[in-house]
Amino acid sequence: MTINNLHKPHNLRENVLQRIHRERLVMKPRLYFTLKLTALILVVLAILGISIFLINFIFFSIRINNQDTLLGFGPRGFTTFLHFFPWSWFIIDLILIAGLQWILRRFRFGYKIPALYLLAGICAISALVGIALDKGTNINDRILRRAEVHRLPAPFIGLYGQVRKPFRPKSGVCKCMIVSIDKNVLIVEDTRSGTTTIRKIILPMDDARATSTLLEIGDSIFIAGDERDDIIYAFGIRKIGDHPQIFKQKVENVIK
Amino acid sequence: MNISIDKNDEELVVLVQMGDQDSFGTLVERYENKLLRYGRKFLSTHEDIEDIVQDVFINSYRNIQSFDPSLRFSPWIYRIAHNAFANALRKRSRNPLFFVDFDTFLAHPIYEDPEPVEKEREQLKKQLDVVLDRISPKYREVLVLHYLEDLSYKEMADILEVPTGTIGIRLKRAREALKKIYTIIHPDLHDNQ
Repeated sequence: MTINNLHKPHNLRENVLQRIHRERLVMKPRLYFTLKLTALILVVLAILGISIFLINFIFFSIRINNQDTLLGFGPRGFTTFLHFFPWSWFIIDLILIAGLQWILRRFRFGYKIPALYLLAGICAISALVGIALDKGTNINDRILRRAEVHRLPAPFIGLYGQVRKPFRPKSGVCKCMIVSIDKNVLIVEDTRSGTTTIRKIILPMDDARATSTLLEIGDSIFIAGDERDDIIYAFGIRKIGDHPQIFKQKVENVIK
Repeated sequence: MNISIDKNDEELVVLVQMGDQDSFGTLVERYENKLLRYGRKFLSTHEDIEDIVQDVFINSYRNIQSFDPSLRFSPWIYRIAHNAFANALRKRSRNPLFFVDFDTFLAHPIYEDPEPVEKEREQLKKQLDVVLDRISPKYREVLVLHYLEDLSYKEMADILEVPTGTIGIRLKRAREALKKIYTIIHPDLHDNQ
């Protein structure tokens, strides 16, 4: 320690007070901190709102494209579901949630909660509200209808206008209409390529997930399988609109 | 005679918030030695500490209206000092300090060690003086705050902005590291103790 340093501590009070006078330092007003806190809370609410909206949109996208049907087709259906999952929106949402967690840790209540619990809490809130918005209200369907007649601001038209994604030809997944049924062979109309083509579907002999029982000519069906030589060897098949929306019904009952 | 001398820290802050600069001088007097000592131990150096501490006081003066006098002043000013020292450490070493701290991820059971007897405490302080600069800053700061500055787990949690359970686990690991390093560099002394 230098001699100068040894003497410095005794003058610290004077140094600090002199610096306040000399540099004319003033306290930041209380209003500054109030506004800063308000801005921070608004940012938190905005990020939370966007995160909830994105989760709601992800669920809507899955529902409108009948991708949730894949979850009823066993392990192969689950793998196909993951393949078609809208990962880009999901990753953007995760980044937003991580950012939100980082901001919340600046608050007293935020840093007292272990980081993983806080993260899990934000995810749970976003997911629950997002799912409730999609399954419990018809807000997405209304926005979609407005997007289709171009009565929405630009970002929403872009988002909702492209939400319906027809499955690509040869992807093994399609929404088709039954033309004929012959035991485990179905002939369907396939519109994936933009024009209507006739396609043959072969169902396994004894699999409850892909059976022609209860199907009729003219039914719209969702099929998942392996597509080879213009034939789909299905591992799952379900009539579109056949799965009950229990949650939605319950919420509608509560509203009534 | 300075009337602010009889008041506690939080009462002084209220006076400062109303524009009384002398009261701020009293706060500086009360905390200058504590913060200088904390800085020297935390940074394991004597360079620039006084300049940093001076900046800490200036910074706290400018932001004093954000302090809520219903809370304790001590963790608040230590928090500002901690940030300043951590920044200094970051500038000195090129490694980002505690960028991802896994200790804060999960809940750890909160338990405070039974108060060590005076002899044990003196021994820990002695060991700290000898090996402090060899312990990682993450563990060094909890040892300094707890054993040299006599702060509670809750106060330390507020200063470091981590859950209280994290303080317990960090302090436990810090003591183990301290004993390990001390045994390596002073095997004879350790045996005698």
